[in-house]
Amino acid sequence: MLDRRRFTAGFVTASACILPALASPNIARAQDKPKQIRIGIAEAGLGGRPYSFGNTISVVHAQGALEQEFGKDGTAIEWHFYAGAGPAVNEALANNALDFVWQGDLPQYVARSRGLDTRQLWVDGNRLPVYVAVSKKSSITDLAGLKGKTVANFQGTSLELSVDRILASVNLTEADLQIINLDQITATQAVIEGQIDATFLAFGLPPQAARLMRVIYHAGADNPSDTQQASVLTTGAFANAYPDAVARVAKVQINAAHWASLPENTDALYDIWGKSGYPVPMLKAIYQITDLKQFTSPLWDPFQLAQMQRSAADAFKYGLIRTPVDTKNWIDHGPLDGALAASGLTHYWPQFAADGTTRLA
Amino acid sequence: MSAILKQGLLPERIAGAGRRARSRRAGSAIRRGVILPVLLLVLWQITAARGLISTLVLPGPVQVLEALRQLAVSGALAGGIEVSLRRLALGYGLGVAIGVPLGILLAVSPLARRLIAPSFYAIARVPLLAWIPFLMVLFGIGEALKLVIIAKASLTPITLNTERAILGVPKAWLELGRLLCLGPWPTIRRILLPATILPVFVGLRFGLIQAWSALVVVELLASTNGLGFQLTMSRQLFQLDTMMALMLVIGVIGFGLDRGVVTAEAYLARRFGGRA
Repeated sequence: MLDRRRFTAGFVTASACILPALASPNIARAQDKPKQIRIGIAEAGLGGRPYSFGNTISVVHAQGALEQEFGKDGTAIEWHFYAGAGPAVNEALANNALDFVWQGDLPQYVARSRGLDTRQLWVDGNRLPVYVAVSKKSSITDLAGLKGKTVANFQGTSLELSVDRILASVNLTEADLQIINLDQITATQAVIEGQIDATFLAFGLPPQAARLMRVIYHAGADNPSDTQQASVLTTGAFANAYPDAVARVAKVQINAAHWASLPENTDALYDIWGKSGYPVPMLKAIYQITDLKQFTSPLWDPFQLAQMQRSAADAFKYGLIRTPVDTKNWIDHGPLDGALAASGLTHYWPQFAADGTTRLA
Repeated sequence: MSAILKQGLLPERIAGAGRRARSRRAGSAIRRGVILPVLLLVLWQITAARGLISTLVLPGPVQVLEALRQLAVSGALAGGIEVSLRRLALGYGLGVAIGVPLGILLAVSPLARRLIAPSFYAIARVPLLAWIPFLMVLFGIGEALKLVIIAKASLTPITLNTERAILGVPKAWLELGRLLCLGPWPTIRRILLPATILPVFVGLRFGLIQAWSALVVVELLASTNGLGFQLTMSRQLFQLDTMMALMLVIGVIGFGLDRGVVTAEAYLARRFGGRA
């Protein structure tokens, strides 16, 4: 008969040996060239298609620019697209499964407040729009009319910070509404079918839905502090191990952002975004880009810096994070500044004051 | 006298010894049952303390208890439990209100059995998760959907066990009742109730377990409050310690509900002379 004590001891020892192996980080030690670069995008196309939109990292992806840059070194580039958006990206980050991420503001603060070691690199997704839509038959005409209504919100994503801010502008909080957690497509269907009263949306209305729905609020160029911001971050572990690789990724991304900012490439840019499965006319209607340079700007201008401060404070104020986030020393300016200087683009993109509307240079 | 005493007392003493032996066996079974959870708890704490797995992915037991304390202090826990238990009471109540009469009907009426049973079994065999998209279209994503799903989850075991309990009453017992000229109420009180109460209770118990599981599932999707909703929300906001604390609460409540039904079952067994 198996000795019970010996069996128990063996079980504990075996478990203790297996667990560290499961948890071992992917980045082993500092080397010049990483074996792989794993990029997580907090967005996926229609039905989970591996494409994103509303950013310039989609250009880097679609043009295979990183694969070209790192191909000669034997560095593999892996792209991961998360339909679960920012929260899903954070789970992958915590599992050491990603080296670079593109995600919106709130999940970035959530990750930092929980102690994930990330570095902000450059802005990619300036003033992303937020809509509030109701059914055409609805009697709701303005934000104040949302009080007590059942309203969808994709909770925990970058949308939520804008939701709370927009509600606060009419002295409402999420508690004054029946907030229901739904992804954007389901939420749109639910409004059309009359199951809920309204929905917050980050990417507007599909054409079929647009005929049946009415937008009662739109955060865009006129009220930039209500919009969402997105950016590219890397992990502290990757930045420390491969600073050279981060600098090269920055150059590739800045070139793509510059390409996307040229009016002659606008159609091609929308075609790239259209690979996500969302129709190009719909994407054009959502982003309503009037200023390409403003939209594609990777700069941490006074508006972006002020917005970061505001968002960090608001995330805590609205109870979305439990510990306040210190934004000091979060941005690693080196890779962006280096890439801008190397490409001669240091003064190419416009800068805006903290209000987001006053142009500085 | 002593013979009488012996005759009278001996079985008592034997029975007493038997009870003690049984309770010792039960005690040792509980002790053995505790080994694995305690071992896992220790392993979990070691893993967390040594940082073998990031505490962001697997928060340690102490962190989870702290999250539980914060949930309790903030009042969020009580609020969530209240909403979930109210939902359970309504959905499960609906399941019992339909399931028990339906089970009786299927048992006593051959016509009802021919008419309803095939459809009922067909419905019962489609798993709950497969019903959800259809029920969403039918009932929307509001409170009605949740109650219907919980009721549906508890309905199947309740109906089936009620039906079998009545069909399982030996015919000879009912004939004996007729021979003794018992009226309808004494027949129910003296024969049917004692014979069926325990099998029906087995159904009620399984129904409750199913209802509780279904409740958490429906609150995970399209919900605005309740423990399942708080669980999803804490995952979205990357508060995995809170998420695990809520899992613990859900487990404990499920266990408590089950124990409650078992206790009621034992009481009724004593009351009606069945076996627990």
